[in-house]
Amino acid sequence: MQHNCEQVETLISGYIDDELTQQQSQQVFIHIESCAKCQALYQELKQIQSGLAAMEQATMKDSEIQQLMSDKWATTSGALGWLLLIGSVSLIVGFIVVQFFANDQLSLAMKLFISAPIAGVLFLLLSVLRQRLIARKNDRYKGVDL
Amino acid sequence: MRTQLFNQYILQHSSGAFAMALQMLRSREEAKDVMQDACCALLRQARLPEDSQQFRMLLYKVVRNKAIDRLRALKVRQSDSFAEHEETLALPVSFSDGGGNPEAQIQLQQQMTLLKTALSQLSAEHRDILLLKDWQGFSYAEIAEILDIEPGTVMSRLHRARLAIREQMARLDEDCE
Ligand SMILES: [Zn+2]
Repeated sequence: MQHNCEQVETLISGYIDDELTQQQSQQVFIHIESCAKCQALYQELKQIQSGLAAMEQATMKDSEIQQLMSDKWATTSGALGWLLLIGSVSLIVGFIVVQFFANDQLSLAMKLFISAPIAGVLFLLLSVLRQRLIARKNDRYKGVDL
Repeated sequence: MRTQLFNQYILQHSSGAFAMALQMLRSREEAKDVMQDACCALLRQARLPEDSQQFRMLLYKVVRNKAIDRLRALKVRQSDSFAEHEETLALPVSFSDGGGNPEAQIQLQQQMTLLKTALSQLSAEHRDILLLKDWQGFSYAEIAEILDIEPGTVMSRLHRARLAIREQMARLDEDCE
């Protein structure tokens, strides 16, 4: 019997939680029916389990839960910030580009010669950005500080 | 997903996660901060689980890890500030049964106090797994995911935790008599 008790003991917890295979469950059931020691352990652990289950749970106030939710104001103000930044930057860049091409003192060839490398760098940046975005989208839990 | 679903899931699951954080940290303020941190971390995710139960699991996982980080920072993982926050343990319990018998009520109340005291004296490893299973009702597979352990080790760790709290309760009971 002693050997059997050792075998069954850990399974008693699984039995309480209904996490055993049918065969294991059967094994425990038969054993605790005939072994007073394991039956007592089973009863005690079950009591602990229901005691813990009955333990009250502290709750948060509604206002505190609201704070956890995605803050609409923060999201919209964040979006607005980006919009303003991108808007003003493109205005400035546009202005400079127009000024540059409208400049009579530089020949067209010279203008192209200067703008080509800048455009090249911009395209490279864009393609890197695109790859980053795709990678981010496909990576499910990336960035969770676990 | 995004905003609407996130808010819905927070409404459903944040209280349980908060209760868990409070058990770990024993301070309402700290637990609230941890919840805030965890929600921010989740919102920064490109993608969140669409399934409610999956979301709940991830929430507990992040909350627990944030709470551990905070405990490390506070260095109060063990019960040195136990007395200070004892109010969190002494909250009244609502019983659905035994309403008519005051003696049984008192005995039940005493058992509950004993259980909570024993729980607070367990190692963090044992306490957390007991809370996740018996208090919050996660399955073994979910607990493995939350605690980042092998699914096969959940049952044995949980069993050891139950034996530990049983032993602790017996010890406390002896001290009383
Ligand atoms: Zn036995």
